[in-house]
Amino acid sequence: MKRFAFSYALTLDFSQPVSKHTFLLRFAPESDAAQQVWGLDCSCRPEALLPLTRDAFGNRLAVGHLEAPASSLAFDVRGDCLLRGEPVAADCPVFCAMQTERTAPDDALRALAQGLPRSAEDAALQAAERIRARVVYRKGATDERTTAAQALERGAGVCQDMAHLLLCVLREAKIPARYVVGLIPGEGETHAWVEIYDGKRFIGVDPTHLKRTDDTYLRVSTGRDSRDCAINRGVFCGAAQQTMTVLARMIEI
Amino acid sequence: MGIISLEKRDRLIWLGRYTERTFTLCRALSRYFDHMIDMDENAYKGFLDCLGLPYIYKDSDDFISTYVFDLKDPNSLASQLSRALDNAIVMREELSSDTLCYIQMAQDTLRAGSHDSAPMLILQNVIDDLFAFWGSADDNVVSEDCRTLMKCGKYVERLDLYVRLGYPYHDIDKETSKLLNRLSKVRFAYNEPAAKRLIGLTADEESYRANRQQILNLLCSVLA
Amino acid sequence: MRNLTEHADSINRLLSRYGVKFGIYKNQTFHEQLFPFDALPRIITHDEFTVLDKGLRQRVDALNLFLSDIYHEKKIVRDGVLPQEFLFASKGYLPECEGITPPAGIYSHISGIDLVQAKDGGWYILEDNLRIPSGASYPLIARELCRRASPQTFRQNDIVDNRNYADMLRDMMDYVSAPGMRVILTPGRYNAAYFEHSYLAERTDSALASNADLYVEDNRVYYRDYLGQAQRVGVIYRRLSDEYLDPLTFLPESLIGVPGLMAAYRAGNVAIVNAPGNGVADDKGIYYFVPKMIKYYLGEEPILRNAPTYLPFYEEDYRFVMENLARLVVKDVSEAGGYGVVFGSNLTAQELETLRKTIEREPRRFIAQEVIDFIDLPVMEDGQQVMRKADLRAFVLSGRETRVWPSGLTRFARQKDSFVVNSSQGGGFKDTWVLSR
Repeated sequence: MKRFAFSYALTLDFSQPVSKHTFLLRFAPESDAAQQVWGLDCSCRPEALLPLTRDAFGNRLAVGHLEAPASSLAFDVRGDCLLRGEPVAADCPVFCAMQTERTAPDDALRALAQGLPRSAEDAALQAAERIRARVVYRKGATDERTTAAQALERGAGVCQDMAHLLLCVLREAKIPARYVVGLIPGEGETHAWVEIYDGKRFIGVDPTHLKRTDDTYLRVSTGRDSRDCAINRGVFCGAAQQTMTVLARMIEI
Repeated sequence: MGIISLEKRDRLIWLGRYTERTFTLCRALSRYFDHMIDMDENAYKGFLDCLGLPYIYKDSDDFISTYVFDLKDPNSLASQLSRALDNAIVMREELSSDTLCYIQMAQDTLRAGSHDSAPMLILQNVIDDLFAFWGSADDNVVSEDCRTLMKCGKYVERLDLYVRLGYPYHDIDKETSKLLNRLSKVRFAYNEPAAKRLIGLTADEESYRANRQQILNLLCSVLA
Repeated sequence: MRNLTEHADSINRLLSRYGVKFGIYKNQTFHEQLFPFDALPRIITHDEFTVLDKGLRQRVDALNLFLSDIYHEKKIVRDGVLPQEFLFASKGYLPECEGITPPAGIYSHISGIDLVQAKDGGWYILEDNLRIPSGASYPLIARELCRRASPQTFRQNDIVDNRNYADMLRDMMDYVSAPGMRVILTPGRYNAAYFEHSYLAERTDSALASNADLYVEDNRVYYRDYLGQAQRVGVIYRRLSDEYLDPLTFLPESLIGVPGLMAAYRAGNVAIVNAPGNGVADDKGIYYFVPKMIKYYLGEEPILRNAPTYLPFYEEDYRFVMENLARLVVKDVSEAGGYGVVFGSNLTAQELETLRKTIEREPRRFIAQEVIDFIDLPVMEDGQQVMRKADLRAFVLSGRETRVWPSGLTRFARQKDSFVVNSSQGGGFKDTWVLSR
């Protein structure tokens, strides 16, 4: 059991002012058996109403609107958490069994799903090992839209690709699983991993670090794949270029 | 419905403008056509000069068949009317189907008459349909804002064409006061300094004759 | 009836006057054309309509219960009535809509149910349209104009007035609405059914809006008026499909949607007519299960029949389909809009073999149906009466209660023996009379 302070700052800079900006912010971790969150504070600048609501995957999110022109938009989320690293008992949503465009298997991925152990947890760890034997961690090797099949073909990827690959193989092996975005100790970007369903509980598996998640993993959102967990999406008027700066931080206290 | 969005505001103004453009040009053309019967076959060139349009028509027959009826000619009467219809169709729920249909009828009239040997009769029918449109609008369009916006467009366009076609001063004077009357009723921001200068420049005949280009410029900006 | 056909020209002039058109794309440019109208109506007797009315209400009630179940508990899957595979295979199932309870619990507010009448007089359901069924405006305005052109006809026959459609629609919208105005959301002027959007907006006294007129703030939807004031929107009858509805939830590249709409909808602050996600219930693969749904949710026997349908997914049906492929029509459940439909009778022995192989490989992807020999209706063509294939789209509105519009859109093929009745492919339409006694 560990205690952390976390923060997430996202800044969008526009090459010229944009107006009628409607944006979504999906960064509101919740309390459950694995984690306890308190003192959550979300704000944005220019100021806008950020009413919390929920999406179909159970994540909390806020949709804000800025009518007037602005040349930047900055979010800041912070809070404290107590992490236990325990599986979470829950019902399994059906989407966990469904492949998506990004996790769709090809023959090579189907082959990886053959002959995995019976237990969901063992299968997940072994599948992760098989994936890591074929795909090395390399920043910049892939982009946001890369699919599992493309990452395998490239033999390189980042945590998002590792998670897509593992989801693909597990779903192919009839083990329900979901994508997770969250934080691990340190400073930089958010992390991504997978939660598998063992019939009663969700268990976290991190294919990037080849281990079960523990009391250093803070879950922020879950979904079918990375798209459902996008922290920010937005639509605005104006022909501006957008530059995004992210700083995620989690420090033990 | 009566709640008008920003986009619809512009649509209504343009609806008024294109409808009026078709209407005033129909009336003006009838006079030119009359001249072209047995007085001056090339009278249409004077019409083109007034509007600053190119001489792309082979002869007077070509002018009538192309300028009046041909949708492929972007300057044609048919094109102006089809723009009026484009703007009207998206305002059906404000205008009512019973009002909108008169612009549709004007277009059907023009389309059906493209090979008619008596174009002035066709223009007369179009004029009748457009008169009916405005009559129906006054009767059936519930929202006063909606009517006001259309009429602002209408009088701006009418003044613009009257100035270009060199209409006598008393017409200009009459139409200016109609426009100003409409503007006094609008609930949106319009260019008040431009309207004030317009009053000054059209105050008497001498000023009107001397400042035609400036008047045209002001008309462009008064609703902007 | 003769009186009516004698006035066909006047009726067509009136249709033109009111711009009763639909748009089509030809060589990537947009054209609008008049929807060919045939003055001879389809006539449904009072007794026949009594059965249709009951059967359609039953069907739509069951479909609404199914949608509510599928986006919440999924009892029908857990109880083994609908195999989970069919749910997943359906492109219309949108996990993004999980857990949403729409205002008043209604998903399919406007259901367009396509039927045909077989030669034995019985009606068969061909298809359910629960997303954006279009076409009600055409018989609605046609009736108005026919009455003007031929008043005697309507004096001499006992025909139920169908001109209450707009009132039915408006009542339904008001019933499900959150506080705020009524809006019809159109993808724009260049949509095939733009006439319908604008006509229904006029007749229901709703604002016809494009996405630029709307925005979401504080989980509420607002309409921007030209004075810069925001008007709260209570109900949106949207005429654009689910994937374009909200770029923050569905296709991010959608330029015609309202960003944040789904958040406002989930919060219960706006009604969307019809509910997003309805595609799961009008899917070709799910169609087979509708009679089972009626038994499952309502405990009743279905009043209206499906066309006899076989699912190769089931062993018994698989054998039947393989043996009878040459006389069946096979439909790919993942295709829409008339694509992926193959008549076995049109195939060569070799093509049949290829189809058999494909079904063997992916039995879940296909359904097979008996070809229904449905009746032809008389149509006037150049002053002659000819017989043409026709279907009927019945409109069922679900609000405070479920009501069947006593009329419908009868579409007919314009070529002899053709089954193609779609307006986009040159089909025409007729008024549909329901007799009052």
